[in-house]
Parts: sequence; C-alpha cells; structure tokens
Amino acid sequence: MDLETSFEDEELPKKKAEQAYGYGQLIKRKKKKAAKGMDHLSNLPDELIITILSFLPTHITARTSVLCRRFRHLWKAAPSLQFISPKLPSHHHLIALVNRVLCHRHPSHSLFSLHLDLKYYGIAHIADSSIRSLFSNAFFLSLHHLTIEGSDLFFTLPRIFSISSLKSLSLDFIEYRNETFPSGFTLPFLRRLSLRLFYIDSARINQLVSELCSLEDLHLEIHGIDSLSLSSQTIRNLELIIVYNYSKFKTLELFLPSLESIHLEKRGFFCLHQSLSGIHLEVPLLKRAVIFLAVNDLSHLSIEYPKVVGALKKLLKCISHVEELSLHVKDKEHNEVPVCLGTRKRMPKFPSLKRLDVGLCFHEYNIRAVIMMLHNCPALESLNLKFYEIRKVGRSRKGRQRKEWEAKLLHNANGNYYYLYLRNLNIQENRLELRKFMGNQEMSI
Amino acid sequence: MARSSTENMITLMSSDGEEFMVTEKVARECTTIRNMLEDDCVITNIPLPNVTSDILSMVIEYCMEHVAAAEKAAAETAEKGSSSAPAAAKANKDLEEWDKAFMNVDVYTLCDLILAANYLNVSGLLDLTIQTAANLIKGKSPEQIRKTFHIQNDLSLEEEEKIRSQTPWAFEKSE
Repeated sequence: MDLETSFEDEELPKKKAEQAYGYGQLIKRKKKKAAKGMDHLSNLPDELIITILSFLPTHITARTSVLCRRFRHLWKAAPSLQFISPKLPSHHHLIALVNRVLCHRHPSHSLFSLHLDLKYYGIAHIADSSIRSLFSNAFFLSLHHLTIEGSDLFFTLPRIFSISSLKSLSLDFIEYRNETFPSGFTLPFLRRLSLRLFYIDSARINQLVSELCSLEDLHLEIHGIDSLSLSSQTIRNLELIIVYNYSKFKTLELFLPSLESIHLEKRGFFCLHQSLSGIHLEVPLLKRAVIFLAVNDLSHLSIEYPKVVGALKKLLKCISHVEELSLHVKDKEHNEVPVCLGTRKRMPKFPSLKRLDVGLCFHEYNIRAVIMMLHNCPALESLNLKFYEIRKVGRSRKGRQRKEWEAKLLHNANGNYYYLYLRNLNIQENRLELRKFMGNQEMSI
Repeated sequence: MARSSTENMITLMSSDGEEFMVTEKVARECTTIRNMLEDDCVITNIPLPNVTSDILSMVIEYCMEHVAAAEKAAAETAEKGSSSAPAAAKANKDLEEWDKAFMNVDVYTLCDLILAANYLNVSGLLDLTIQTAANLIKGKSPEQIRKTFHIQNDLSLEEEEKIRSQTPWAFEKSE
C-alpha cells in the first residue's frame, strides 16, 4: 500500500521574501480559486484517509469500498473497527462478518480498537466457535481496546482474558452460569476494565481484580449480590455502581492503597437503613469522591428517617480526608428523602475538603445536614448547593413549613434558593457571609 | 492578548514565498516548529515548503485563537485564585463555536488543512479537520460521498456490483 505523501505539486517556486507582503502583520486571507475537478481527498496519503475512516463506525466506512479503486480496501485497515449498527439477521452473522474482516486484515495493520454492539439482537449468550476464532484473530492482531455490548460472554471469558495485548476492556453483560469463573489470567498491560456483572460473587470478582497487575481504572456495575470486597495495589480510579434487585447489599470492603478517585452509585429498590451494615474502606490517597444515591421508593421510610443514613454517615467517616466531595441523594419520583446526619459533634470532620457539591431534596433535615457539613469543613473553597424539587404536598401545614424554610435560605443572584454556587470561600469576607448564613440557620431551625 | 515587545517573533515562510510573522508562543503550537526551535534556538526564519500561504494563514489563525483562549483562561485563574466552573465551561463552549465556524470551508480547503495540520503536527487542528471530514462522510451514500469529495469512480459497473455483494450490510439503509 502506498503510504508516501506526494507533495511535489505543491512545491511552487518560492518568491523572494522582500517581494512578498510586509513583516509584522498577518496577511489577510485571500480566497484562492480551488482547482475544480481535482480529486482532493485522493491528495491525502492513505494514512490520513485511514485516520478519517477510523472516526466512523464500520458500516459507514465499508461503503467507501466502492468509491474508487484506491478506496477498495482502505476501510479494512482502519486502526479501529466499530460494528455498532449493521442490521444483520442475527448475531451469528455479525460475528462471522467481523471474523472475515479480521481474517483478511494484513498483520502489519495492527488493530487498535474493536467495538462490537450486539444489543440489537437481544441478550444472548454466545459460545460458538466463531466467537472463539474472533478472539484468536484479535489476539494475533494485538488488539489494544475491546468493547462488547449486549451479549452474555460468560463462556468466552477465558478466550477474552487470553488476549494479552489488551490495554482496555469493556464487557457489558456477564451473568454467572454454573461453571468456574476464569482465573489465573494475567493481562500485563490492562489499565482500564469495565464490567457489568450479574450474580457473580465477591470472591471471584476480587480474585480477578487482584490478578491484574497494571489495572488503574475500574468500572464495575454489579447486580444481585449482597457484598463486595476489593483489594488492589494499583487501582487509582474506581467507579462502582451497585444495583439492587430486591436483595440487600450488606457489606462493602475496599482495600485500595493507590485509589485517588471514587464514584459510588447505588440504584434500585432498597432501604438504606437495612443495607450496608458493614463498610470498611482503606483508601489513604483518596482525593475525590462522588456519592450518588438514586432511590426509587422511600415513601415508607419517613417514620424511620434517623436510621436512614447511618450507612451514609459511616461512609463519609471513611472518606473524610478527601479534597473534593460530591454527594447526591435523589428520589426518582420526587418524594421526600430526609437525610439526617445527627448532631454536629457526631458528624465526621472534613479537614482538607476544598470543593463540596451537594444535591438533596428540599427538606428541613437536609438543609440542616448541609449546614452541619459546612461547619465541619474548615478548608472549604467552593460550595455547589442544589435542592431537588419535591412533589407538592397537599396538606397546608407542610406547605407552610416549606415556605418557612425557603425564607430562611440563602438566595443566589437570580433569587433562586434551589441552586447556589459559592466560590472563593478561602477569601475572608466570603467566608464571613457563609458563616452568617450558617449561624442563622442553626439558631432558627 | 497583551504581547510584550520583547517576545520572540518567528517568521514562517509559505511555499509561495509569503512571510508571516508570529510570536514564538503561537509558532510553538505546531509541534514540528516547536521541535525545530528546540533543536536550534536561534532560528527565526522557518521555510515551510509544504504549505501554501492561504492555508498557512488559516493555521496561524487557528493557533492564535487557541493560544489567546488558553492565555485568557490562565489569566482568569491567576486573578481570581481559582477558575470557576461555569466560566470555564462558557469559554470552552465559545472556543468550540469558533472551531465550528472555522471549519465552514469547502472540501478543497479542508483537505489542504488536514495535510498542513498533519505536516505541522498541530494535534488540535488535525483532530478538528479529521472529525469534520468524517462528518462529511457520515450518512451519505457512495454516490453522495463521491460528489462531496469529487472522487472519480474508476471501477467498472461489474466490479462495483461485486464489491457491493461482498458487504451488502453496508449498503442496506441510508441513514
């Protein structure tokens, strides 16, 4: 393949500098008539055309094969292949197609990334020989980034984990079958791992993670298990999404000495006070934390609110050394979610917290909780406060109460108390303003 | 953009002999030029035989805009102690708008810009132009792509049919 750049036609005879335009200023662009009829895309070297094609999904780039002779095979050499929406009768056809493309690929065109989307065909577990040969091809082309969506790959995991050149891997559906979970694989270059796991128990997940010696970014979405324990020396970013399917999540243990950033999200039907009885985090280097609780139905909890956030408080205690904290508790149905963090003395202190981002529903307890947190953050520089609107209450007593809280709150420049952004709190006068706000609130609530 | 008179000026000469005087900071946006400057720090006149004057002036325009944006952001951060998230987001959006308007060119200019950005190694401009070219291909039938890029079809009808039959899934629907 011709990878040489041809610039000859552009090397016009050079004019003398003095005859050209004056120094010191940029000459205004003049519109030059382009040579019509000339094929400019073909002026580009193959290398650049392939780069353009690698920005597009494969079902589009494959169309370029009929443009002209030169484009015939260019699309197959693209360093990234994305099979994201070719409408084929079944996933077998798609896998066979990918196989053909990979088989015909010249070994010198190493494959950088491969993205397969099988969502269109519904979740099916794939274990036939064609997908095995697909992964062996990927192995020979030293694939770096692999993403497969919408297919249960439990049975092919050993194949995938033997592609030793992988630097990032994303698999979005793995459901436990009654077989042994692969172990003993080392992917020495794997830095990013993203998995969505169903009913795979904690010990197996931990074993997998601890075997990966270069892993830095881990994204886990776990369904239907009741505890998780992770330990790794190398992980720096963790995104953990826990989804409840009526089972209760009990213990979370993280031993991650290199962890710098954590994103913890919980979704689904659950009762906070019943779940997460045991939290143990050893994350000495943690700087940023995002905690997001999306709640589906908490209406039955209103009687038991003091217990609601026992778990949350424990969690905050474990990460009280962070510099950035984002805490959001939200109900999908716009119900009230009172978050009660207890008295100020029992609240964890955040000695190095600089940026705080809080989003809670509009409730008296939540306002109190925020004020309590502010009292315990001596180094705070900026505060982003958001109150989610809750469903209007019919009873007039409650409505009146809400009016009272609203009156006490600090408004932003637009007169809106649901959203407030304060920055430069390290400057003395700004801090005084905040103190005033906090002081007032504490006395009056 | 405040520019001190002591700042080093570099002269860039296009293939057709036009000279462009730019600050060293702007010139350093081009990795190729930055490498030259680092190898030989007294060099002030750089001939660029692969870039015509109108394309070079566009590349310089892009670099100046991006240097100015970066300087503005840095100045704001220094002034206020910390950069505020909404202001930074707005500045980013403005720059994106500027990029979008900048990419409002015909395909000839676009292809020349890709070549120049590749040669001068301006990674931001290369990404921008390549993405723009990719967007031009997206959602088009082969005929439309040929028309957009003025590509001469040198395949016979039979050959084209044969290729189409090998990858029928690519031609099934036109988005």
